[in-house]
Amino acid sequence: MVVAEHSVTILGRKWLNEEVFELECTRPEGFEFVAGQHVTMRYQEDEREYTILSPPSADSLLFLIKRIDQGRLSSILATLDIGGELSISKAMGYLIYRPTDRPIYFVGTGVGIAPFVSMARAGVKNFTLLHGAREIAGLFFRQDLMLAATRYIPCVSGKLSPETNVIDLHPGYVTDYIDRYVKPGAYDFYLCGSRPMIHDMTHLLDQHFPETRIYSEAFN
Amino acid sequence: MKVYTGGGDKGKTSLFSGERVPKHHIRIEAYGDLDELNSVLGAIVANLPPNEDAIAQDLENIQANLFLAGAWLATTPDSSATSYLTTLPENVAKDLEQRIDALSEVLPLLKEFILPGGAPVAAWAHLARTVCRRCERRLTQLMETSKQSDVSELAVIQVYLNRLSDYLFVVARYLNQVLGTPDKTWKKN
Repeated sequence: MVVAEHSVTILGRKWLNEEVFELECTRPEGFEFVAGQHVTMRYQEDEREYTILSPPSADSLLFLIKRIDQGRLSSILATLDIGGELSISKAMGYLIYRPTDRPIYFVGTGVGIAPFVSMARAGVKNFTLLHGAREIAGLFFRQDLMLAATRYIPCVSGKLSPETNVIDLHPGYVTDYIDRYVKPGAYDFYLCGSRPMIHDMTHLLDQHFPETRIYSEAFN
Repeated sequence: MKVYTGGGDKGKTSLFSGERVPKHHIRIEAYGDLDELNSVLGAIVANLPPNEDAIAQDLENIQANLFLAGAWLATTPDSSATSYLTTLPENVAKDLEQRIDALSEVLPLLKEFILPGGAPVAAWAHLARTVCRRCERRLTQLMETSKQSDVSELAVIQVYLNRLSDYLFVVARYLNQVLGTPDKTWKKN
């Protein structure tokens, strides 16, 4: 078990759809992090890792959380009173922006978009973002990300209604987009999403772009 | 933390600097050997006799330092990822020299080759010493093949590993001494 090092207080909760919400917590004094890092959050005996959504310059800490029916901590976080207390570890992880002269692709699916939101809010520029979700409503922070990215490509894998009108929309998985449209070259890819997505994307990139660099973070 | 993603199922893995390389790449060999060394150090710690807190603390510090060293080996020198790496603490090699001198004080003077072995925990220390020597060989190979000899941190690690091998040799002898298992000298048949 990771030893929690900081106590934080819940300041607010904002639901983005029926199962995903932003949780705002106090930022402990001296708590430092780099955009893209995560913490282990703990409440009593339950703990889980969550990526910080806010940029390092923010006064409070935001987290993007999906309520899982069988997930004990996410259910607690979804209902815990404002003013309630949690513990978080120090910031960890290496899915952090590394300056480069190569073209950069950020690939985030579902709540895996969180590190890229933090990076965009921290001022990272010159990246193409492939944003994957099952439905349009799951493309969280779409408007902000469209402004920050050099190119923003929403990839929606679920069924689309005929009247759907989204700029550059790719009807399919992020892997499918890469497979079809990204030209051969040496890129820096940053991946965050479910384990199967990371698995499939890694093999695809190995196959198509052997010179590419990959930084990834997977979750269940 | 997820233990597996399956991203390496086809024989490639990522360096800390992001490049995808085959799992037999010299960098992977180099930090893989450090990982092996770290595990053998863990075996020593797990088998230490009671009241050897100083050695336990030494080994814990060394294990932490090997993590830092491994990250350097896993990163290409011209990569921006180097800015996220942590240098080894100052005087790491000097500190080991002091510990070698302190432990050596209780040991009989060495006049002949000794056979690696003795008490199980000392045998682990001898094994660690030989793995450490392999780490050194891999490092020099890496520095030569990747022209990384100008990376000062690798030079620090090189000295550290050289001293660490000596330290582990002394630890093996020291543990045999305190456990009443005298060194066996090499006798030519």
